[in-house]
Amino acid sequence: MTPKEYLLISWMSYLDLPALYAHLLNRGGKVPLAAFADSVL
Amino acid sequence: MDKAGELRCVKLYDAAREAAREMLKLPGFIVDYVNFNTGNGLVAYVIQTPEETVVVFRGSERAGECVSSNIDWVDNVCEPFVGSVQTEEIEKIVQTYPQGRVVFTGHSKGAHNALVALSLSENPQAQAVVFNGQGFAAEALSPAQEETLARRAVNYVVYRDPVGALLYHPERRVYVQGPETGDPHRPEAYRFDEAGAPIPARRSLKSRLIEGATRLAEGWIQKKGGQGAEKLCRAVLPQK
Repeated sequence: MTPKEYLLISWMSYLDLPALYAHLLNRGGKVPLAAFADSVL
Repeated sequence: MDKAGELRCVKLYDAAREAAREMLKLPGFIVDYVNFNTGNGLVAYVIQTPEETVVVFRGSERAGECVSSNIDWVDNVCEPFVGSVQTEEIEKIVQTYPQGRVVFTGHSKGAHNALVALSLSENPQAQAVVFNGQGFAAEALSPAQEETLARRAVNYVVYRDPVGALLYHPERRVYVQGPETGDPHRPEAYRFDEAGAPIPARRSLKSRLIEGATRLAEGWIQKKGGQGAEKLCRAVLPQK
């Protein structure tokens, strides 16, 4: 990853989405970053 | 799923929305997530990409709809005197990745926690790439930990960011371009080139003065009122 990409994911970590994560992690065990981004847009 | 209901904590402003759009292109999966918002405040995500494991620590949050307390901020103030209430959980995460390429990252307090993670890691391939992270108290780290940070951590600091100037920094700091006005601490303050590398800048005088002042203040408090600060912090922080 580039520094800019590390910053992007650091930035997005401020989105507290426990309900969303519980939902997605329980469903598949892992969540594509792109799906995460799409879910907040 | 009721998207509006599930996502009630998301308040994307324009710059963050643009960042989320850029994230649509990133490879990798979120494979783990810890959230201690109702306890010590630590929140971390683990992202697996084809090349590496990335552990992301969230920065400080204020009490509000999404977070129940100001524990992050109390912890920021008290850490130089009594240590962080989040360190124990950070160490548990670190121990999950004893080998392989691991990058600890984060912004602000998340950056500081990523540096703490690297200092605790025995993984020789672990690194830290962090953004506007605050420093450490003078005696917080061992010489070996300081050497680890010096060799394997980079802290990109917007040239006039006050938080990245605080206290002592064994890690390598790279000062980068940001806006001349407005808040230099926010993630959108960074300026990158087309390859995704931060654009270097000269550190501001104010940043240097803040660093010197906070080092003097920390030393003075430790010498004159350290016990009082420690007692106060232990009273307001939850038990580790």
